[in-house]
Amino acid sequence: MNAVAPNGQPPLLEVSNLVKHFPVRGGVFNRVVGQVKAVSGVSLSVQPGEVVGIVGESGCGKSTLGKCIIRLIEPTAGSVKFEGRELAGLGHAEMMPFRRAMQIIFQDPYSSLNPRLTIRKMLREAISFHHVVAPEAVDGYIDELITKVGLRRDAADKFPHEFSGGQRQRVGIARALAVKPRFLVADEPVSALDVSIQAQVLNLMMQLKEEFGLTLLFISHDLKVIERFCDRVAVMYLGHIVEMLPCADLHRHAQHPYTKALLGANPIDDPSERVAAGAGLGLTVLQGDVPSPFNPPKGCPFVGRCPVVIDRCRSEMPPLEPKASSPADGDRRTACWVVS
Amino acid sequence: MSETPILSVRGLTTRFRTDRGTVTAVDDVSFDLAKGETLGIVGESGCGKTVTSKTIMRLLPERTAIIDPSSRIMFEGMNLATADERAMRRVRGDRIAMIFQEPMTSLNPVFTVGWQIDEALKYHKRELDSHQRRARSIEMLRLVEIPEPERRYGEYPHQLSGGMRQRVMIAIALCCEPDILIADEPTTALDVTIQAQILSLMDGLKKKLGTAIVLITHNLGVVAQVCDRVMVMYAGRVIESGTVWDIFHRPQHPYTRALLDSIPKSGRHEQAESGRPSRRLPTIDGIVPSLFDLPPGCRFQDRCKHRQERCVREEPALLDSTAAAGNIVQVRCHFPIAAPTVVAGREGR
Repeated sequence: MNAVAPNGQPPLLEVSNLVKHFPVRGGVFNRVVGQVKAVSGVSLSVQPGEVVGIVGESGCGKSTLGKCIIRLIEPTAGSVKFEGRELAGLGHAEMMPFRRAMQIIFQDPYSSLNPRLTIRKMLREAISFHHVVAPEAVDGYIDELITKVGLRRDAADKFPHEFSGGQRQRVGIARALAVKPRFLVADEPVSALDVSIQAQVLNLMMQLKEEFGLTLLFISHDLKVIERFCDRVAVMYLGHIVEMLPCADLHRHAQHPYTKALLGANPIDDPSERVAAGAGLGLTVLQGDVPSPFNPPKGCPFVGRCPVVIDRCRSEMPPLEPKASSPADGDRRTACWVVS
Repeated sequence: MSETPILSVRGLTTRFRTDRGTVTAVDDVSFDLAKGETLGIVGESGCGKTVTSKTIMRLLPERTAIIDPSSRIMFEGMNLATADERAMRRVRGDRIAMIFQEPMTSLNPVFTVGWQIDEALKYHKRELDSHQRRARSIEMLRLVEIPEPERRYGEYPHQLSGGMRQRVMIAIALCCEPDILIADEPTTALDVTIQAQILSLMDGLKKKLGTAIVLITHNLGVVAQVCDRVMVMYAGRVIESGTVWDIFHRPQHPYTRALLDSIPKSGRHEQAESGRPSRRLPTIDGIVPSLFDLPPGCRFQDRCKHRQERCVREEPALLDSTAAAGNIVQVRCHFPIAAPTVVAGREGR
């Protein structure tokens, strides 16, 4: 990956060759019988202020990647640099300032909040631990935070079960922002919410992103959401990034057959986009299912479902690299032998 | 819709007894379903779309769910709202079949896939012997494009992926060639490439077998893709219904309009011309009112941008309004949006 981006700024976050394998135990002696290869050598850099989307289907490793980056899960191998500092191998105490700088919003606002704490107690714990504001200013700071995420002031003294799903996700956002992070991983932040509430929460996130000058890694399975809210998108399939490109030209310049399939499998927005009668639905239909990360295919991970597969794909993993057929501006990388 | 509908629902009202009192989950819902038609029922959680479908199938617990005696669910001259359990058993699975959102929990984990298809045939197709049933089951698995159907016939649900389980559900639902298939969020739990497989499959089967489909979903993209007509529900009420074209291009109810605006559109049309759209989406402020505490007037009033004094006082009735090409759209609003709208991303086309 580029160490320095075109605008000359060093990246805020630089991930190289990140690997996470989960051991699978079995048999009489509970020995390790295999590895689930959740993330297999991912490299990615994020510029300050950027919103980078990670899109992929369930089991592709996108959540594991997000959690490895902020070291909620210990990566098996690879390096994660935050503001130039290598995080791999840092001890508990050395990690502390980075724990504060990097926060996460979880998908499920029901299970990610402690049901026994009021919102105020929960927020106070994090704020006091990291000495975000002076002890006497904590209550005022919490009130300010609660109003910032669009909740009423009295919400601070309620318990999580007293909120609706959308409100709970607002609490989740307040929790993440309470320690004034610089980098935020949003792991499917709106997937559990109703359509009309999704837009509210997405808008709130974007507003706060600008207000706090945040950098965001936005993990989602929904390409339409990613396209709307991110600057760049990384498409993941079975532990690998198979394509990386600016969202603005996703439709014109996507090259990888899997990215194209994802775009083509999304339902239309408007019934007048339907294809002529008798031609089916006009959706791109891939054969088969996502293969298991327990036993990924040799070579390209997409080989079993790819419509344009060639012999080389079966034996060798294609590198993620810029292709001659892509426009020269911007950072576009594709991992495919067929695309030249 | 000149021919007689195969299913005609009038004034369907379902109440639930709860600890906090009786609550009306579905309030005066009426619709017709024609042969071979796909009707979409759209709305957010708690709007009553699933209760509507379960009431038609009479799958709700009788102790807590009360179907109002004035409700009429007419199917082949029979009122399913008052039919006894014996009559319902002949309808359910045979003439009207249902598939559910969660294929993991709706298949029985201790029986093989083949056994579960066979069970439906055993009850409803008495004339078939066990060899014929087996052949029919395998044929159904092949029809829903499950690879190696003979092998899969003997497998258990946990051996199949989510997409395959949903196909097995569809195979069970369609094995008796029902007149009506009720699909309750059939693709919500699935990945988008698998969703495309299932939607294409349902569309193909509908054309092949002429099944009418009631598709319950919150995904407006799925509706745009497969439905002929759409019914939008809000807090137990139908607030708008019409052809998919009228609903998407000329939504007259402010809620329908706002719902359509609030979903991110794919940029496949915009990008060619004018860079990226704004990062802000139009939103619907506030939340759905609690069914225990409904406002006296229009149920959408708290969130509506066009609210006037009359909306607070008086609940609007569901009235016919003529859309383009003489189609009838029904709208429950005192002040429906009249001006034709342009769906985002389609300007200049």
